[in-house]
Amino acid sequence: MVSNLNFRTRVQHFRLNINDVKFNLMNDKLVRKVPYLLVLASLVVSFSSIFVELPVGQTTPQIVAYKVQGTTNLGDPGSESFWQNIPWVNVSLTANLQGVPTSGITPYLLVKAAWNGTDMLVLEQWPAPNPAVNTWSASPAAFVPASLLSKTTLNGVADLQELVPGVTYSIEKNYTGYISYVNNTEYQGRIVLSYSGLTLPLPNETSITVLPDGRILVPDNRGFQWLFTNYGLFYGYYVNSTYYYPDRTAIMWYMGTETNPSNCMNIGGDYANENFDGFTITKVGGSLSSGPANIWMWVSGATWNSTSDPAFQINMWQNESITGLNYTDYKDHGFAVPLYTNQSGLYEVDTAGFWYPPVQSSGLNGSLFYIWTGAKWENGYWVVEFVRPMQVPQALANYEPQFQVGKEYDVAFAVWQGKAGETLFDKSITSGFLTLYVSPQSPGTVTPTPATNTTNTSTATPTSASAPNVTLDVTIAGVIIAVIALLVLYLVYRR
Amino acid sequence: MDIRRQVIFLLLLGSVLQFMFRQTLFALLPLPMHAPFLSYLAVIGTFGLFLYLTSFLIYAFLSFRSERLLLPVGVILLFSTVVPVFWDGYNTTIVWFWLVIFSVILSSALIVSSLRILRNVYLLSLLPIFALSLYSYYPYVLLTLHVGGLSFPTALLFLLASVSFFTVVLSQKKIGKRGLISDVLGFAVVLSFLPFILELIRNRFLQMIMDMVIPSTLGIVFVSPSDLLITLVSLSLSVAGIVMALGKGLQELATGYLVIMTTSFLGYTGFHLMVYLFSPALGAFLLSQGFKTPITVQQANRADSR
Repeated sequence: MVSNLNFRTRVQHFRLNINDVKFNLMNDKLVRKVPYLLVLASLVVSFSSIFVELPVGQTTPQIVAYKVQGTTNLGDPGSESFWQNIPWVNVSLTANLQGVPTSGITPYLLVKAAWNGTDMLVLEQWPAPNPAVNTWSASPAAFVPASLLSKTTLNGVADLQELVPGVTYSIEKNYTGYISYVNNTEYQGRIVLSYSGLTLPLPNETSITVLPDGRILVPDNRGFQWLFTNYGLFYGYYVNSTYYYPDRTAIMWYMGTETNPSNCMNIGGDYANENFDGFTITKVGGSLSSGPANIWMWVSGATWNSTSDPAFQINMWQNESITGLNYTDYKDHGFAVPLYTNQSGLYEVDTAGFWYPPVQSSGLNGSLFYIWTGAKWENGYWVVEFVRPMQVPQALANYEPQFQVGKEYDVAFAVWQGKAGETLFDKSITSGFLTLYVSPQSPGTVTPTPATNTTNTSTATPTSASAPNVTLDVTIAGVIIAVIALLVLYLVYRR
Repeated sequence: MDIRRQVIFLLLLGSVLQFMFRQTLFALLPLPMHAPFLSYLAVIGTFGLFLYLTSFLIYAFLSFRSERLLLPVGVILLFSTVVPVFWDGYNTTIVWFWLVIFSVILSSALIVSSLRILRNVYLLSLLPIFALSLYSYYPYVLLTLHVGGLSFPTALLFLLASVSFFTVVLSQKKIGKRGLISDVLGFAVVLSFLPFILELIRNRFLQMIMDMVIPSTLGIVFVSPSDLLITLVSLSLSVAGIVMALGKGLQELATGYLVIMTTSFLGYTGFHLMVYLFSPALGAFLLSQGFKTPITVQQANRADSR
């Protein structure tokens, strides 16, 4: 066909071919450069992320705080009608300390959230077949005068660490300047623990209790928490049928700037770079590497307004000579302890410092009682409701989040079962932060959906089995749209 | 030159870095260890995450001709990366909720589509790995829909997946020195774990320490404390399988399995990042790509001669 063309056309055709070749060569060169350009672009973006905070797309929030109308009834938490329109969110919990039999007792926690114009409300429910009542939280108990303390149970007034079964001890006399105590008997020398080839000398004046079956108990402090966890000797907190610790639950609100931060609090000393018997403990126990966070902690042995709470039995919080604080007991509610953690330590958001050092020495009077709680144990479950104003006073704003409609917050949960030996840093936690969104929407009219537990082996079912679920309607709509979109994609590709 | 080979290398590098210095470091930072500069390593984790994200994007756009579902995956991932810049609160909207639901369905469809390789009866043994990647969306869906359901033992799934991966990789391309060396290396990895595992059975003290260390390095939801032995066996087989796959030039297999192993269990807390949400599906697709072309004797010889 080409041979039939005239000369001019042949020249044009030849030029076209030359251009094709040129274009192909250019194209080929370009293609060859593409991998390098792509690699370069990828590396540039990745390196930039070190210096500039780049966005990363996130998934949807897992918990929604719906707008509701009505007041709270903390005397009977969870009974308010608006809760019936909000579904439970089943949050899986895991062991905070791996390998410790007393850690991770509670497999899951059910959560609802709402706001009523003035307050943020969080409702929790978790299985607790053996609730720890009538027992002290050791830290506030230490503030109570002995004369008053003796009028209550002495359960839980001291936290005792239990070492791994099989650990033995000896008293080394060649440590001449050392004094040790075994079952309250004084000995000259230093206690040295032995376990499977490991020897661990303990600090001067350490007091241990040796049980008839050979198990060793050590009084709790952060240095020992760090030491025994570090050497794998921490077995849990000691409990028996009559001695145990209070149940607790806590909510952590992240206040830092990281996307997808870690919620693991550090195991450490009382202060940074503490010298504990020759060991340098770099971090502070309870501090949070990923930045500041506010914690709301409810304790059945101190903040539960009940006759089964020894602190309320003796009206401890109304006793200004003990607390130095002004507390009015409205009888229908207790409170949650506000805590503040950051990279430097764990603090109590008040000026008293019953559990942890106060975050400020003045200007925060009354903040200990700022978060109200209602709690009840019913049918094998704890139900605890937290209530806090959406906005806090300026003095508190550095340590607690201001809740705004339309915003989302990273939130984590923890539960302690004291009769099973969970207390302090030994607990069940969410493995990471979840996101909570403060929605301008009401829960709406929805169809009932049974809320069953997901991750446990317990056969019990939550009492509020009828949880209406607006999410389900939205999801069904979303699934229909997704399936249609996939079909459209399929048809487009097929052509 | 196939561009995708380079991109998969970046993906592998990013996956390793973000796993080691972001996911793992988050679990390690709170532990009482004498490592003063540990927190600085988090910077490498951030770098790794973005390397992983960008190479994921590039790979999705380069590979959509072989798997068309990768195009919407790439578009959604790119959109989700750009959208936070100009839309505050984007992820709390109903549109985003639908997008996430769509993404879960899309990812599941991608995994099911990748299952096509299982037409080969021989590769049916890979089923546990695909099951693991598909299962990752199950706890996420339960969490998102606020409903309950049964939970399966994740450690057992991990064990089945690792056994199947090790077996299949072991049976690949035995011809040539390179294949032989890879197999030897793989067994060396397993053997290196063996004394450790045996010691662990006998030594309660070591068990206590490793009960903390191993699950922490893998992410605390990954296993329950009582599943340490299963985890270690699975881990040894997984690492050996990955080393063998890399040695044999099966980059897709190694990367795919690593991606599934490191991101599958993030569903328990809602994945948090869209890139994590798509990752199990990407891993499944990479696995299927690894078995797409049968390896011939000539290819094996060429690989040896390089």
